[in-house]
Parts: sequence; C-alpha cells; structure tokens
Amino acid sequence: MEDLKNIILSLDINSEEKERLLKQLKAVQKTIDSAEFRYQRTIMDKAAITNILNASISEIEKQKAVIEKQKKEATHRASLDSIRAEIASMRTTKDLEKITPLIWLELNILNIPFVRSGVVLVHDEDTEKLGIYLATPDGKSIASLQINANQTVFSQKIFNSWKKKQALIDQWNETTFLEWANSLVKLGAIASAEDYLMSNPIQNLYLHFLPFPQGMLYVGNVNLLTEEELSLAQSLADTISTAYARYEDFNKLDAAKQQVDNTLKDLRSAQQQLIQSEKMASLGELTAGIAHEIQNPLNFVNNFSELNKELITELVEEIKKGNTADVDLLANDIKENSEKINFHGKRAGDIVKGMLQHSRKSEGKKEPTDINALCDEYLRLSYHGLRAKDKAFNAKFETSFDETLPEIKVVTQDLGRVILNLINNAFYSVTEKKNQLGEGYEPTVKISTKHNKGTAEIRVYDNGNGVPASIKDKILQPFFTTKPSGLGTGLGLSLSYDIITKVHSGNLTVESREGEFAEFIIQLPL
Amino acid sequence: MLAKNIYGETIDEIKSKYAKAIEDGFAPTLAIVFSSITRDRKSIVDFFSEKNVTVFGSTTAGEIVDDEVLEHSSVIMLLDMNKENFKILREEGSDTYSIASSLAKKAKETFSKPSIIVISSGLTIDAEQIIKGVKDVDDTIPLYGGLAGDDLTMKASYVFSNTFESSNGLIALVVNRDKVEIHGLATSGWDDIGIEKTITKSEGNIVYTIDDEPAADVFVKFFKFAGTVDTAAEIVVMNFAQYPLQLKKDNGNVVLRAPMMVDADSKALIFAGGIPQGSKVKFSVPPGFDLIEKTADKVSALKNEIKNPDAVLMFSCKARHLALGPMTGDEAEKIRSIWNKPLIGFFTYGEIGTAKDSVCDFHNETCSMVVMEEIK
Repeated sequence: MEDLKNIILSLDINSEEKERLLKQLKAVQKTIDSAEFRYQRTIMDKAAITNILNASISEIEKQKAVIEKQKKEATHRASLDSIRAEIASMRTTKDLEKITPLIWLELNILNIPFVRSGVVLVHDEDTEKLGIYLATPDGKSIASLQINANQTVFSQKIFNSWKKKQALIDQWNETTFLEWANSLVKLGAIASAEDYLMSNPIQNLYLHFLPFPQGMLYVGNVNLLTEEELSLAQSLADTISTAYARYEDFNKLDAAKQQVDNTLKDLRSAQQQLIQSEKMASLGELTAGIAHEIQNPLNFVNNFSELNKELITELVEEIKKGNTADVDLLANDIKENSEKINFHGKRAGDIVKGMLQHSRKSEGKKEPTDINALCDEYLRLSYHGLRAKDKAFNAKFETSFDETLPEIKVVTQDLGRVILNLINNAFYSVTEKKNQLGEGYEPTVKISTKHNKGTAEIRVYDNGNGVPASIKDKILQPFFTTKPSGLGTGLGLSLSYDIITKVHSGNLTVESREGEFAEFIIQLPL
Repeated sequence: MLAKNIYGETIDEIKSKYAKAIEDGFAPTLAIVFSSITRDRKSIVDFFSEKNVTVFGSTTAGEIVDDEVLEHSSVIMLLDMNKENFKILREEGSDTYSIASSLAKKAKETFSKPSIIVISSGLTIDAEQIIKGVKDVDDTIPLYGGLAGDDLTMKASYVFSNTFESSNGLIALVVNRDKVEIHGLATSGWDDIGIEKTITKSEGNIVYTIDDEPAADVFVKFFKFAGTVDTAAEIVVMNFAQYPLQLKKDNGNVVLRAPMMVDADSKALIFAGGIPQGSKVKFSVPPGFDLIEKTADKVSALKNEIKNPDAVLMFSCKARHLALGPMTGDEAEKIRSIWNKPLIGFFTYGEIGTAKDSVCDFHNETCSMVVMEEIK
C-alpha cells in the first residue's frame, strides 16, 4: 500500500488527479482492512460459537442422560412399588397365584429378557415345603403346586440353593424340559405336559433363580442374563420379599386379631357370669332378710289358721246347742280371720315374687316407682338379712324421707339392687369399725331422700371408717374391693355406678372423711 | 442552540480550531470534552476556563466525532446553551449509591424538572447503583450516560469539569427539562447463544463461579483462541468483552454484562455491572456485520421524539468498537446521517440508557444515543 502511495505520488499527473487516486487508494485500503477484520472476526466468532454450542450440546446431552436415567429409575421404582402394593394386598394362599402374572408384568417393565417366569416360595423351611408358582410365556398363571423339596430332583436343587442364599443358574434342553413337565403332570400341577410345552417350545433354556429371604424368583430366558439384568431381577426379588413379608405379617396379624377377638368374647362371657354371680350374691344376702319378712306373714297365717281351727270347733258346738246368735258371731270371726290369712298369704306371695324378680335378668323396663318405699323395703331387708346371718350384728338405722318426692320412672329391681348394695356396704363398714373400737361407738346408718329441683336424691350415710382419699377414684371401678378376698367380688359398686349413670342417666358420687363417715349420693333426673 | 465539534491531539490544534469555530460570532457556553488519557486534558480545561466556557468532561477508550472514530485524541462539542438551563454537578466517593442519590437531590434543587447526563469514573464500580441512587430519589428523572474509559489500560479513568477531576466520582450535566429536551435509546444487537447457566457465586459486579466453576476458567475455556493473547487478563480485555453474559433481570430488562477485569487469584471476573448470585445467564456473541444497519434503524426511532435535535451524543461500548473494528466508523456515519447534526461520543466501559420498551438500566455492548434540543 505504501508502495502504491509512493507510485501515485511519483506519477506525472496533476495534483487533483493524484488526490483522487490517493482517496481511491485509501478507500481500497479500508475495504481490505475491513475484509481482513471480518475474516478474523468470523474465525473468532466461529470458534466461540462452536465452543459454546459444543459445550451446550454436551451439557444438554448430559442432562438428557440424567433425565433418562431418572425416568428409567422412576419407572422401575413405580413398577416395584406397584408389585409391593399388589402382593401386600394378598390375603390367602390362593391369592399367591396372582404373583406370577405380576412378576411377568414387572419383568417386562424392567426390560429383563425372559420367556418363562415364576416364583418359588419356601412355606416351611424345616419340612422343606415349597410353593411353586409358574407363568406361561404370555403371563398367565400356569402351574401352582405345593410340594416337598425332595419330591423332584430339581426342586431339591432349588431348595438347597435357597438355603445357601445363592443364585441358581441352570441350563435346560428339550429333554430336561420334558422331564420337568412330566413331573409336573405327575404331581397334578398341570393338566398335560403337552399343553405346557406347546405353549412355547424351547430348545434351550437358561433358568435363573434369585434368592430372597422367603424364596426364589425365577427368570427363564433363551440367553444367560447379563450382570445388569441379574441385578435388576435381584431388586425385583428383594421387592417381592418385602411385599411377601408384609403379606405374612398381615396373615399373622389376622390370626392375632382372631385370637384377641376370641379372648375378648371369653372375657365378655366371664364378665356376664360375674355380674350374674354378683346378683346371686346379693340375693343370698337378701335371703335372710326375705326369710324374716316371710316369717312375719307366715306367723299370721299360722296363728289365724290355728285360731280359726279353735273357732270352728266352738262353732260346731254352738250349732249343736242351737245358739244361733253365737254361731253368727263365730262365723263372722272366722271370716275375718280367713281374710287376714288370705292377706298375709298374698303378702308372702309378693315377697317371693319380688325375690324371684330380683334374681331374674333385668328386663330393663322403667316403671313409676315410689323411691321412699323402695329404700325402706331394702333397708329392712338388708338389716334383717344381716341380723339373721349374724346374731351379734347390731346397728342403729335412721330414715329421713322427703314425702314430696314423686314417683319416678326407674328399673325398680336394678335401682333396688343399687340401694341394697350401698346399704349392705354401709352396714359392713360400721360393723368393721365397731369390731375395731368396741363400746363407746354407736354404729349408725342413715338413709334419706330429697326432692331437689329436677332431681331425686338418695343418700346412704354411715359413720364407719370412710373411704380413704387414695382409693376414692378407684372404688367405682370394676373388681376393686377393700373387703378380704372371698367376701366381695369388687363388682358391686361398679355395677351400681353403671346402673345409675348408664341406665338412669343419673350420678353416683361419694363424700367421705377417712375414719369418720362415708356418704354415697345417688342423683336421678325426674 | 448551536453545536460545533472540534477535535485534535494537541492543545495548540484545539486552540486554533476553537478560534476558527468562533469566527462567526458563535459564543459557546458549554464544552463537552471527551479525551484520551494520553492527551493533556488539564490544558484543555484551563483553556476553556480562561474562555469562561463550562466543561463537562470524561476520559475515553476511543473517541467519536461526527463520522470519525479516533484514538488518542480529544473531541469537543461546543454548545451555546443558555447558562440558566444547565448546571454541572459533581460527586466523589466510593459509595456509588449514596453519591448518585446526593447528585439527584442536588439536581432536583437546581431544577424542579431536571434531566441528567451522567458520566462516572472508576473501573470496578457497580454502575447499577448510579441508576438506583438516582431513581430512588425520583424515578421520573430522565437519565443517560456512561462509564469513562482509559484506553483499555485498566488503570484509572477520570471525569472532570473546570475545577474538578476524579477517578472515583460522578460528573453530571443537569438540564432544565422544560427548556432542554433530551431523549435517548440504547441498542445492542448481541445475540444470546447456548444454554442457560447459573451464577453460583457473586457479589455485586464480581462473579466468582458460573455453574460452580471459576468464572475466569469458564471464559478461558470458551474464548481463548489460537493465536490470540495468552494471559487471562489480556484475554478478558481483548476477547471476553465481546462475549458478554446476557442477564435477564427481575424487572424484566435484558441487559448484557461484559467482563472488565480478572482477579488472577480467585479467578473471579469483574463485570461492568452487577450480576446477582443465583441469576440465570447466557453467553452472547457479537452480531453479524449487518449490525450497523440494524442499529441505525433502531436509533432512527428517536426521530419520533425529537425531529430536529441540536446535538447528538453517543455512548458506545468499547466492546462494540472491538467487535466492529474498522467498521465502527460506518456505524457513527450511519447514525449521524439520521439527523445530520453534530455528533460527539466516546467508547465507554458501560452505558446508562433506555432500551426499546424498557426502563432505564445499566448496559454493556450498547450504542446508547442521546439527542438534545434547546427549546427556543
């Protein structure tokens, strides 16, 4: 360029022409510079773009590989999860036959090449009992047999391998295959060897058995499986194991649940018996009282019938005498006495009826009941009952009944039993204390009723030893008793509590000062 | 308002050209001085002070005057703007945000509706803080400008006025918006390429790692070409700046971020603008050679704002200069021909301006145009 410039300058032309040429030269120079720059620039940009794009492509490929791997893993995981769920939902041995189509499906999803598949479950390790479940090449369950390992050579081989927790890989030709098919027919696992073989004739079969804690997964293929395929198959085997363990757990759980149910049933009937025996026990306590009660009308019956006997003798004499006025008088007396006999007979009858009612199962029918009368009756029954049992027994008892208390609807026998129970306990408590303290202590039991707004209240008070604070919460629980063993079932108060709260929607509470008194309070809604 | 450009390499050249410029009675009040650090800017400033002309000045990485692209020279635009309509403000300090907001407050005290053209010195400043500092005071203030250059020596750049010079400060030409209309547009043309990368560690405008790889290593891997310079520092200056990162900001703006320097020890790259940690970036490559037409096309949209400006300022990225090489002048020529008015500019280390359909931001690799018209 410098040369050209010099040449132009040295040319013999006018300066205007020179200027024009130099300008042209400058323009050419700029064009060349630009072209060169563009060339350099293009090379650089090409390099940069190539570098960036190559890096981008390799990065994208890396990401793609990662995503594909994740996708594959996710598919596998989902597949294994589904088989886990399926197997875990199985409940019976019959259900287990469904395992084989599942395995067939999973092997397909996992892309493990196979033409045969199945599973061998070791049902009992000690007796070598095996369950063999095989699928047809198209995934249907073809054979399911329960055998002992020693029944065929091959099952023994499988079992031995399993015991050592080793994979078993074997190669079969058509002959071995036929032998196996025939042994299956012999064992009745399949209908005919032909069907089994025809479904997919195989000249050469590689059998892979992969161990898991409860059995072996079987994959049969025309080629040996690769390491990777074996490891995938092993992961399937492990999944089956987990799922099968769940299946077993569920079965065990079911059995345990059944046992618990049975135990519960036994307990319920035992409890029923106990409740009945508690009833009978309270009946026993009543018997003496009832006997005393019955004695009274019986005395009347006896006395009046004796009296009537004498009066009839007199009557006969007076008839003979023809003394009609006296005859009339005597006949009238006899009639009155008969009525008295009849009245007391009925009374005894009622008492017996009540006793029978008491022992009978409560029908739970609520009837309007005079609470005051009920309390009075049971107080006397209890007192006389205890007196009858123990001549030394003596206690003062007081009643204070609120006459304004209306009749209320209760299950009479049930409520009576509660009142009796509380009164018996009260007498028991004061007797205990009397035995401890002797003279100077006056055992007292008070029973009172009160008509409150909306409720009827029954209080059973005794000045016995009271209820210690430590057991106050427990005394209403079943089977809790402070009485020496054999003297109480521990059900009295808890039954009473149930009767009041559950049957009558009332309240049973206790107030007490230890060593001084105890007072049980029944509140019943009106 | 009349504008006249003069330029030269020596003070004598400038003095004589100035004398010629005022021959017709032209009485400039303001001199916009863009000067290479290799030139004697002190004499120039003193000369204009003597003439009672206000100086708004900055050092450069190459100068533009009309359609000429120069190096190692001083270019000056003389304007006879009414002294009431403008004021030069200056700030100095390392806290870019607070000096920018102080500057904005002073601008608002000067004019109720100011427009600001600001130039900042300093090679490692986070220029986004300038915009944030100003916009936090009043986000309606039009703001344009750029970062001063130092001819790629990467030692120190300067901004200056008649009585002030700083390698660590701001100089601003503040005008009364009611009297002087200013509009601007920044265009780039760089294309993004490749897949997204993540800034895994950064602090302000220092990027330590990209996808957990040292930032400098990443750039060297891609942009160290056979036959070009060797050291990382040289590679950065010569090559990297042409391959900036494209950053999509939270406010939706897409900006380019060119590396300016490399820290040899940490292999960190210092960019001409902030890149938040965790942000997604892409590499970008220089546009094809049709860039000049494209840029001119885009810039001509400014015609809709001001049809007949008095003067045109151009803040063009140094990287553009490198990428366009000898054709840089063509770009200046094309743009100048849009209005055919005096044009002055310089190659910057970063531009402050508004890209199409976006808000003011800090850019790299752009050609940031500003047109001015004093209302009569």
